[in-house]
Amino acid sequence: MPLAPPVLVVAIAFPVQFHLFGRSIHAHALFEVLAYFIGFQIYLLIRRQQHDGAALPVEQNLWVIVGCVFGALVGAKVLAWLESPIDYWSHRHELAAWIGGKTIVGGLLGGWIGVEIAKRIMRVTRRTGDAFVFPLILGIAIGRLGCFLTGLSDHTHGVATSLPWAVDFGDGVPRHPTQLYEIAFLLILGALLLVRSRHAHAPGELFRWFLLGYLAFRFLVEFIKPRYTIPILSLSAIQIASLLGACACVIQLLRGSRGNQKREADDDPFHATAPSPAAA
Amino acid sequence: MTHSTPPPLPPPPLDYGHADPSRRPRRSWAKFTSGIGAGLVISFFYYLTLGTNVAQVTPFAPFGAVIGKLAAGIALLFYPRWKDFGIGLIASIPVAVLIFLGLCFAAMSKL
Repeated sequence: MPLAPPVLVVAIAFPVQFHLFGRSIHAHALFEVLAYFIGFQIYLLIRRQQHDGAALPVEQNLWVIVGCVFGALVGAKVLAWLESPIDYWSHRHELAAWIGGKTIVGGLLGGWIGVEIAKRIMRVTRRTGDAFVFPLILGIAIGRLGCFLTGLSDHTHGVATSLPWAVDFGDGVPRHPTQLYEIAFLLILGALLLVRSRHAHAPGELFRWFLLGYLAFRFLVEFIKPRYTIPILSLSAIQIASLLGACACVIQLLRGSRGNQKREADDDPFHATAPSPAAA
Repeated sequence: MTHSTPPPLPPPPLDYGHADPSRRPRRSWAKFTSGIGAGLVISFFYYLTLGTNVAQVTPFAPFGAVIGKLAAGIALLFYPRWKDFGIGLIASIPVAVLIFLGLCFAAMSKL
């Protein structure tokens, strides 16, 4: 069946290049740097607003960030390799192929593991994830804008569709703009979590809800993306990682709610958490 | 009748035993952020200078900025005044790898 031409005509020449001081800058690089910069600034702002009891001592907090970024790098690369193993294997003699490519799902899960390792080394038991939620939401949304403007070579677009909002990324095929779906989803998730943060919640609960929501979205949206599936499961590596990460979030949320119920039964008023400073 | 000005009050005693809690965290964060910024600038100029010749200099040239920053960051951990800057320098390694090394190789693979 021939596909209908997209109703939404986006007059963009992909990949988009910005011109600054006589040099052309790739949209992906520009938005990636912006995402890290703005995300970190928001993290600092939230950290500043946290009341003293909720924040880790500064040096421990710095090492938690180090653990997070190293874990994110390893996770982003490993999952990218697992996502398209045949492509990587066929270019295994080219260093460029090994270094290019990364995934957000791997970055998030790797970052989470990195933080937990750093905390275990420092013997920190306090949950620290809530301060990362809003910086991550905004950072990923900004980064995805760069992915969208990069077009086909970013490999984050959707499959062909005849829906009216399909986007032609330059090859004449109208496709799902999955990057824009992700931005819209993140904005809705962010609004819901902002509402949740205004009410009393257990430490780390916001982060787990964010991760659960994002991983569930990624699991579903991968079905409308071109992907390499693992034969027996008919799922991609990103979908399997999303499922595993979502299961870990559900288990921890259930444990947290059981812990809260137990504390309420013990009538211990000191475990109630104040609303997140992000809500301020 | 003469008006004599009262003698100025003595300054408050200095508390050498405790750091000012309101100031230290902000200074630490500023040093940490500076460390990350410096690390990114180093990587930017390193890969800009090497450009597409990055892998032709030596096979280890692409990792020069990583190794240099790691060594400098670990060395700075032993100097209390520079410790937070050193942690920032170390934290900048994965961020710079994600941004610049990938870009560098993407540009090289187009040749």
